[in-house]
Amino acid sequence: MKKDFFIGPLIFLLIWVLFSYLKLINPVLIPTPWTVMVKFAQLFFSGEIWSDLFATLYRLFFGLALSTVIGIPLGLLLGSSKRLSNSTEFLLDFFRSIPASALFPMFLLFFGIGDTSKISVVVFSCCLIIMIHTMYGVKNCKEARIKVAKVLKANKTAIFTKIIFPESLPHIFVGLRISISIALILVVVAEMFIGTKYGLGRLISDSHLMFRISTMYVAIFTTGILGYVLNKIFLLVETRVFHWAGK
Amino acid sequence: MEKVITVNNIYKTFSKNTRQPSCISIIENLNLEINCGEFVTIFGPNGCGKTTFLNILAGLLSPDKGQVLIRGKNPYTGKTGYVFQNFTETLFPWRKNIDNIAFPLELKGIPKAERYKNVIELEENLNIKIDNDSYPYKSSGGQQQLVSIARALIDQPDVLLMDEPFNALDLQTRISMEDEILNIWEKTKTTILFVSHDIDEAIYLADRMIFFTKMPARIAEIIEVKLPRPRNQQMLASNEFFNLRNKAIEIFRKVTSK
Repeated sequence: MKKDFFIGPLIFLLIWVLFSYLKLINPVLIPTPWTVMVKFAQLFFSGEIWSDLFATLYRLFFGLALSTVIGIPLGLLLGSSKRLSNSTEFLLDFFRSIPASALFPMFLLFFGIGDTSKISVVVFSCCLIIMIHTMYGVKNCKEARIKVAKVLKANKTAIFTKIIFPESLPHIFVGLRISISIALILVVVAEMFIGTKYGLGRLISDSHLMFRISTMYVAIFTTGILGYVLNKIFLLVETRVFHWAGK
Repeated sequence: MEKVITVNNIYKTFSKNTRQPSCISIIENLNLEINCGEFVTIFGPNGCGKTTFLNILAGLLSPDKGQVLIRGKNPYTGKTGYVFQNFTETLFPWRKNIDNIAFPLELKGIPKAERYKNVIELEENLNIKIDNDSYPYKSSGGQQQLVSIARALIDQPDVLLMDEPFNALDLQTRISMEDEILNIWEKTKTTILFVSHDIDEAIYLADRMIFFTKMPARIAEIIEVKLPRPRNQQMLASNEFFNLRNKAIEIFRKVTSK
């Protein structure tokens, strides 16, 4: 851990303490850090928040897994054929430009209020992201490396599995990491907008409606921690496994 | 003496762009024979078609006319080793050095243990030191080019093609790599065709030095380099070398002024 790592968070905490104890802002809106921490411990130890956390995680990973399974093969295909990528370029850019949240009502119409509609929103967005990164990965492969294999009379399958695929893996992984952040946003918003029994998004909006402000903050922090941890795990894998990327 | 490479009257043209039929002639009426175990260097003006020529020998391109034989076989089926100038871009950074070298064996489906055994044997026979467990991008430029050379040699090619392999190296590394390639050549007795941009290097390494004309490439002249072997860098200061160098510069001047 870097030197000075804790300075920023400590100052943040200090300002929070200052604001809440000096009542600079209505204490109903900003409870003391202590109140929030107690609430945090309560919700986790009583087990109340776990079902929300797991529901959100389930939607997140189910959506991501589906996006990966669909996105990578399509991206590989797009990357290998110039004709295919040229003819779909507009569609990809266009669909990517639609904010996925604009599609909630449509998915709601198609799939109802269950998990399917929430997961499809994630798949719609993340699939595109993974596809595009995979395509760039394939397109960015060094021509010279393929030449090496051709001199050795390698067949197309070998060129693909031993050169093109491994070389595009770091790009694919970046696509996955970006997808995780997007997927988390979408799941939380979908839970608020579409509604559900369990989920961190639901917990946030319910506690807001019922004016349980500390619970709302606990739920918000939990999504933050979730996003942070997932991103860090992916970054760690990237630097460990793909230490050679861009070389 | 057995001929490893026979090039018979080949022609190669490229079309500038696909819509226009106008073509540039890259190689015209090129003839060449290279003996088994010979070290031949190719020297010529910039962009004269040397790389195209090597690509034809490697079976990556086919000539429009004429015939190329590698040990009596078509280059598409012949076995060639190819060492490129841009070693960082031609090595596989996700593979350890040993797996880079073993790549040609892997393509042939040889099991891992045997591949590794072969690599270690090759390194011992050639007396070259490579950090097998490291990755190319963590190795120095000279090391990376040694890995490329070992990879090109591991499957015992009929001929080793080298396209300005030491250009990207600093002078000190370059000098030691020149001696390294001579050492490798003497141990393996592989036929080497070496394109160089450096007149001293082209003389120092060669049995025969071939001068290409400006594009379209033909052979302008061939000089025999009769410096004693094994060679050492002191020879660059000898009278014999000096005379050869003057002769080479004279030929090159004629080639480029035409």
